[in-house]
Amino acid sequence: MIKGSPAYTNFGSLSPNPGETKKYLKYVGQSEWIEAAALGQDDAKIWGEDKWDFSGRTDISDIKFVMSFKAPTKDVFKAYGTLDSDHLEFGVRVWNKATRRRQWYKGNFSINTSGNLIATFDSSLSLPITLGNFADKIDIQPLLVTKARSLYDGSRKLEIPFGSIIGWSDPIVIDLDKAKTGLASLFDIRWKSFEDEPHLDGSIFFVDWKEQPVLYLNDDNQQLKQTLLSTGTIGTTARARDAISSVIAQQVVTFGLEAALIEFIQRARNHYDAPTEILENLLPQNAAILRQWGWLLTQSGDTDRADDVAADLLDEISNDLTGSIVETFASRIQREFAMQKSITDLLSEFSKGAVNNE
Amino acid sequence: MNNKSSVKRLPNWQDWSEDRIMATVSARSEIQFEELEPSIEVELDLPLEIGKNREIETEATLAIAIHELLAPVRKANPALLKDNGFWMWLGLGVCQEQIVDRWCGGRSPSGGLRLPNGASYFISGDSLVKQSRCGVRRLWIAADISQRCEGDYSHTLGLLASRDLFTGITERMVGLDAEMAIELMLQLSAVNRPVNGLKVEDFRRLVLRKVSVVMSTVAIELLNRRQKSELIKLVIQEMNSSPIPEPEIEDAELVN
Repeated sequence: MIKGSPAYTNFGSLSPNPGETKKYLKYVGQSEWIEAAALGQDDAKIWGEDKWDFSGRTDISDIKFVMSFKAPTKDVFKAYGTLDSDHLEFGVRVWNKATRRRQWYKGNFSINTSGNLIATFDSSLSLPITLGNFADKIDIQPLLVTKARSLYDGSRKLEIPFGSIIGWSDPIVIDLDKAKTGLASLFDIRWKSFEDEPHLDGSIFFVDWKEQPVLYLNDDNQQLKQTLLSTGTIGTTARARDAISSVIAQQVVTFGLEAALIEFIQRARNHYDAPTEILENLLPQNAAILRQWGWLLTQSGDTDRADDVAADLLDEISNDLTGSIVETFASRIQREFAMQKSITDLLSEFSKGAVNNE
Repeated sequence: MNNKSSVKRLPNWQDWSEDRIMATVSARSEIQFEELEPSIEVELDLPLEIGKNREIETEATLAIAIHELLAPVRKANPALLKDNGFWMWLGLGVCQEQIVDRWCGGRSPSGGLRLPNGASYFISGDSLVKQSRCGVRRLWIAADISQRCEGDYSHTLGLLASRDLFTGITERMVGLDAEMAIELMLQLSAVNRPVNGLKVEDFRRLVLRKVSVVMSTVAIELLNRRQKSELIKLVIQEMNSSPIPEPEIEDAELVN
C-alpha cells in the first residue's frame, strides 16, 4: 500500500466512489454473471472492502468488476497546469507472484464540471479473471500515472518522469488460498515424548524454528493432551483447552516474530532493498510469520497485507520507533488470541463449579 | 524416440520437508506421483545430460526443451503451471538426476549425495524466491522470459550464464517484467570488473536493489523497452560515479 503523500506528487490518494462499484461472479458451469448484491449471505461475504476472499471456493470460476474513484484537481492543476489524457493515464496494475504476472490494464478518466477527476476501471473490457489461471493472491492496484514524456511540477520545482505514479487508491487483494486458521496456518503441530530431552524438563511445548516450523507438544502429559485434543464446545475442559491454547499460541508467535524481526532489522540495515524485497529474502519461516502476524508489530497494526507490514516495519526501523512495539504488542497479541475471553470463560466455569460444590 | 508420458504431480507437496526430500533422493526411494484428471500426455524426450561438468549451453538447451514440452500443457491446463506439485514431479521425478548433478554435486560411489544441501532445488513454491531456486522451474522461467520479451529463445543462454545474476533478477518483483529482466541481464552482464572497490557480483546486486527502489515510484508496466533500458542505465551510471556504502552481502548464493 502506498501511504502518505510523497514529495514528488500533488495527487496522492484517490477516493473510491462506492456507489459506482459493481462486482460480479460466475459459478462453475454457469454462463450468467451474478451481481454481488444478488448473492445469498454466504457468498456475499466474499466481497470485503479491500479483500475479496475466494479461498477454497472451487465452485466459482470467473469474476469481473467495475471500480470508480475521484480526486479534486484544484491543487493538481495549480502545480502541473491543466492535465488531460495526453498527460495522464488511469488503470490498474495487477501482480500475481505465483504465476509471475505483472501487467498494466488501462481504464478511463475524465474531469467533470465540478473540477473532480473521475477514474473508472471496468475489468470486463480488458482484464479477464478466470480464477483457475491465478494462484495465491492477486494484487490489483488502481494507479494514476504520468503519460507525458516529462511533467513539470511548478509547486515543487520538479520534473516528473514518464510512468511516475502520481495518484493511487488502496489495492484490492483477491485471496485464492485456502487459509488455515490459528497456529495451524504456520506450524505443523505434533505430539512428542520429552522424556529423553533433558533440556525440555518442565516444558509443555517447544518450537523447531525451521522452514516448515514444528510445534512439539509434550506427549508425556496425558492430561494436557486430552484437554488440548478435546472437541467439546462447552464445559470446563473446553474452556481450559481454549485458555491453554491461547497462552501457548501467544508464546509461540512472540518467539517467531522475535526471530523474524531480528532478521528483518539486519537485512534492512545492511541492504537497500524495498520492503517487499526484504520480506521476500528472509528465511522462509521468518517471512511466513511476518505475513501472518507481522501486523502485531506495526505502528498501525491494522493491516493483513504483507507488503504493508513490511513497509511499516521498515518505517519503524528507519525512524528508530521499534520501542513503540513494546507498548502495543502485548495488548494486540492478547486480543489476537482472545486471552481475556478465554481466561474469563475459564474462571466462569470455576465459579459455576464452586457454586455447585457449595 | 517416442517417450509419451502422462503429466503428473506430487500430491500433498506441502508435506515434503527438506529433510524428507534429501532422504528420499539420497536413498533413490520411489515417489508416488498422481496422474491428472483429465490426463495430459507429453513427449518426455528431454536432453537430460546436464552432468557435473555441465556447460551453460547444455542447461539452456534443456531450458528451451522444457519450455517447449510444457507449451501443450499450458494450453490444455493453464493453471497447472502454478501448481507446485507439478513442478516437484518434474524435479523429483523426471529430472531428479539432473538436479542431483547440477545442484547436489552428483552422487558418491555409494549413491549418496556429495552436497546434501540442495533440497531447495527440488521444491517449488508461490514466493518468487522459491520459484527462482526450483531446479526445473528456473530453467522454464529463463526460457519463458526470453520468449515473452522477444518471441524466441535467444536470451535463454544469456539469462542462465550467471546463476547469481539470474537468481537476483528473477527473485525480485522487477523480474516479473520480461523486458526489465532482459535489460537488467544485458546491462549487468556487461559489468565484468570491480566497481568502486566492489566485486562484480556485489555491484550487480546493489544495482538490482536500487532499481527495485526506483520502481516503487514508477509503473514499469507502462514503460516501453527503451525507457526501461534508459532507467537501468541511469542507475548504473549513478552508482558508477558515486561512492557506495559497503553492505554485508547476504544474498543467498547458490550451491556450486
